[in-house]
Amino acid sequence: MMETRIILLIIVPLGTAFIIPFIDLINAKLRRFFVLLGISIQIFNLTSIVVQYFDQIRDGSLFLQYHLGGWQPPFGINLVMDNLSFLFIAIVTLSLLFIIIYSIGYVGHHEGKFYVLYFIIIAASNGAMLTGDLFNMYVFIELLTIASGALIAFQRSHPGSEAAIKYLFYNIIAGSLIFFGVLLTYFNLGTLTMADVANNFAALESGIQLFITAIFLTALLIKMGVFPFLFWLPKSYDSSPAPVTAVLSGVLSKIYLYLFIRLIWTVIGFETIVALNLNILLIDIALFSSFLGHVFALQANNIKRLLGYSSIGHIGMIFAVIMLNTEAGFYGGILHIIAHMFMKAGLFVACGYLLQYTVSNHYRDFKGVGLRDKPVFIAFIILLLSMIGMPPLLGFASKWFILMAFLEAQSYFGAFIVIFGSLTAVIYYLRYIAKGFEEVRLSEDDLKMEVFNQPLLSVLYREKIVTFITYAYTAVIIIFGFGFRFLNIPLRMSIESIMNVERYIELVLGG
Amino acid sequence: MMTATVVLENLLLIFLVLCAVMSVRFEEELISIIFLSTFSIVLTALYLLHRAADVALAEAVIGAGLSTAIFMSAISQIRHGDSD
Amino acid sequence: MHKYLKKTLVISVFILTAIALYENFLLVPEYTGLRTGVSDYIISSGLSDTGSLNLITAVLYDYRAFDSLGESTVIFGAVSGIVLILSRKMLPVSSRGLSFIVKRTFGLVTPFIALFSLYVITHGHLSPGGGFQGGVILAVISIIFSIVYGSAFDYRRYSPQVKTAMETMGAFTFLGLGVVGILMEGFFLKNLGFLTARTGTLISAGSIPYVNFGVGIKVGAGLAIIFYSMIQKTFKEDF
Repeated sequence: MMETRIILLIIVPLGTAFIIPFIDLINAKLRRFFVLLGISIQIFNLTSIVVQYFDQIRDGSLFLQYHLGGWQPPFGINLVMDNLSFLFIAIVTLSLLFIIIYSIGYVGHHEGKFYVLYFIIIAASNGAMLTGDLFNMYVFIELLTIASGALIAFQRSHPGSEAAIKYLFYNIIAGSLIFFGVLLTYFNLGTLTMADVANNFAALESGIQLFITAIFLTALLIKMGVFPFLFWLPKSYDSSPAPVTAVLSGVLSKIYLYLFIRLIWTVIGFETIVALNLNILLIDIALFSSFLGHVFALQANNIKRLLGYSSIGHIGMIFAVIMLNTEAGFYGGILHIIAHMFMKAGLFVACGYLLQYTVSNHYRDFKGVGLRDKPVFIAFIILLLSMIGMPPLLGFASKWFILMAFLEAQSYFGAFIVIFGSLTAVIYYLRYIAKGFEEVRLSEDDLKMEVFNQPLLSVLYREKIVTFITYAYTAVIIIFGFGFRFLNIPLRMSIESIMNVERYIELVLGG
Repeated sequence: MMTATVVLENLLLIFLVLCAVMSVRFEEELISIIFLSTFSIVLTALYLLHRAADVALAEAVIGAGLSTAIFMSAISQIRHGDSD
Repeated sequence: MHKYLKKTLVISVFILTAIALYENFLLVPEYTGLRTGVSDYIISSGLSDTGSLNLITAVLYDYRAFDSLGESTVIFGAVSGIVLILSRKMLPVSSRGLSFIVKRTFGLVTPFIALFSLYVITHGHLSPGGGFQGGVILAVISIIFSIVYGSAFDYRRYSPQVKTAMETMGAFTFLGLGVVGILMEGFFLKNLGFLTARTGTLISAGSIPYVNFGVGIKVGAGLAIIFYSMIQKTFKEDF
C-alpha cells in the first residue's frame, strides 16, 4: 500500500536539520522552538500511522511502501515498512525522543550544531530502517557514521578527539566494505532493490555468494563491535558526552542489528548461510565475544567503559540467539533488543548526570555519588538490577526467553554464557553500587576542583529534566517487566515478517 | 589500436600502485600529499580511458584539487605547532 | 626483534588479504556475461523518461535522486561536525596573501573559474558534470581567495554567515523540489512534468537543472566552510 507519511518520517528531521543553522543566524533563541516543532511533527506522524493502521499491525498484514520519484522498484528506490521495521522505528523514535529532551540542558556550547547532527541521526536511522534498496542503505549508514563520529568529539578534549578518530577509522572501513559488497552485488545481479536481489541471490555461484556474504558480515561485525573488531567500542563510549553515548549504545547498535537481520534473512537468505556453513561459526564467534565482553567488564575501572564492555557482552548474546533461526530465538532476541535499548540508554543518561559531580569516570571517584543525588541513583540501581536480570524487571523476561531459546536449540554453551553474564554482572555492578553509597569527606581543595570540573552549563529545571527522563526509562523497564505480554503481538508479527520472505518479495515487486 | 590502449592502461595501473606505495612510504607529509594528488590524476586518466567522463571530472576536481588544498592547510596547522 | 616480528605479521596479513581478494575476484564473471537488468532499461529509455541527455545525471538526480539527497546531507553533516570541532577561539587574521603579480593574475582568472563552475552546474543534464563537480569548483574560488588575497579578504567578501545561508538555501532547493513533487506529481522527488522542454536545450529535463543548482550551491558553500574553518578561526563561537 502506498503511503506518503513514511517518507515524511525521513524528510521532517532532515528539514529540521537543514533549517537550524539558518535559524541560528537569525536568532539563536528560536532554535529550541524549531527542535520541539520537528520532534512533535515526527511523533504526530508516527502516531497517525499507528492509529490508521492499528488493525493491520495487530494481525500482521502491515505493509506500507513508497516509491521515490514514482519509479517502480527495480529502477528506483523504494521504502518499505513491514512489522519488523515498524517495531524498530517505534522504539528507536521513543528512545531518541527521551535522549533529546535530556540533552536540552546538557549541551553548553555549540547547541545548534549538536541539534543538526542529532536530527541527521534521527533521519538517517529512520531511513536505514525503512529503505528497501541496498545502495540507499549504504548512504544512510554513511550518514550515521559521519554524524555520530562528529558527536563523539563533541567535548573537544584530547581523549574525545582520539576516540572519534579511532571510531571513524573503524567505521569508515566498515562503510567502505559495505559499499564494496553493494558494488559486487550490483555487478553480479544488475539490480539494487533488496527484494530483487533476494529473488536472484540463490542462483549465483557459491564462491561469489561466500565473497559477498563475507564482506557484508565483516562490515556488520565491525559496526556492532563483535569479537575480532571490538576494540574501538569502549573507548568511544568512554570519552563521548552522555547523550551521545546513550545514542551510540542504545540506538545505533540496535539499528545495525536490524540491518543485520534484514541483510541475512531478507536479502541473502538464511538457507544460503547454512549452505555456506557460516551459521555455526557465527554463533561461536558471537558467544565468544559475549564472554570476552563480560570478562573485560570485570577488570574495567571506569563506569562508562564498563558499560561499554557490558554492551559488547549483551550484543554478542543477542547476535548468537538470533543466529539460531528459531522462533523462540527471535522472540528472545528482539525482546532483549528492546530491553537493552532502554536499559543502556537509561544507564548512560543517569550515569552522565551522576558523573558531573566527580573528577573523572574512574572507580575511586565514584565514591559518594549516590548520596549526593539520591533519586537519580535509585533509578540507576533499578536499571542496573534489570541489566543483571532481577525478576520483576524487563531484563529478567528477555534473558529468560533467551535462555529458553538456547536450551530449546540444545546450545548449552549459549545457555552457559547467559548465566555467566548475569553472574559476572552481579559482581561488577554491585561493586559500583557499594562504592556509590560510601561516605565521602571533601576538603577545601576538592571543592575547588569540582567547581572547576563542571564544564557543562546547566539550565533551570535541569535536575528535574534529568530525574524525569531517568524515571521515564525506569518506568518503561518496570511496566514492560510486569507486562511483557503486551509486547507479545508486535514480537510475533515481526518474527512473522522476518520468516516470510516470499511475501516481502512478492509485495515489493508485484505492487 | 587495441593493444595500445591495453598497454597504456597497464602502464597507468602500475603507476597508480607506485604512487600509492610512495605516498605511504615517505616520512615527509608534503611528499605524501603530492603523491596522493598524482594518484588522483592518474586515476582521472584511467577513468577517461574507460569513458567515464563524469567520474573523471569529479575525481580531478575533488581528488587532485580540493583534497590536496585541505591536506595542505592541515599540514600547515601542524607545522605551526599551535594545536591545542 | 619485536619490531621486526610486528612488521612481518602486518605484511603477512596484507599479503593474505590480497591473495584472498585476488582469488575471489577471479570468480567474478566477465563483463559481457552479466545480468544487466536495470542498466539496459535506463540506457534504452532513460532519455525519453527524463529528458536528460547525460544519463549519469538522469540516474543521479531522477532515478536515484534520494541517494543524492543523502550524499549531499553527508557533506552537510561533515560541515557541521568540522565547524563544531575546529571553531574554537578568536585568532588574528593569519595570512596577508601573496605578491602583487599573483593577486593581479588571479583577479583576471577568477571570473572565468566562476563561469566554468556555473557552466558545469547548469549543463549537468547535457554534458559531463553536474551539481557535485560544479559545486567543488565553486568552492575552489573561495580557496583561491584565502590563499592569494589572504583569509581576511575571503572573510569580508563571503563571510561564513553568507556561506551558511547559501548552504541552507541549496539544501532547501533540493528538499523543496522534492516536496513540490509530492504536491504536484504525487511522489517525493518526482521529475516535474510541466518544466520539460525540447531535449537538448538548456532549460529542459524537468526539475533536474534546478536540483543540480541546489546541490551545486550546497556543496560549494559547504566545502568552502570546511576549508575556511581549517585555515583560521576568526569567526565567533556558536554562530
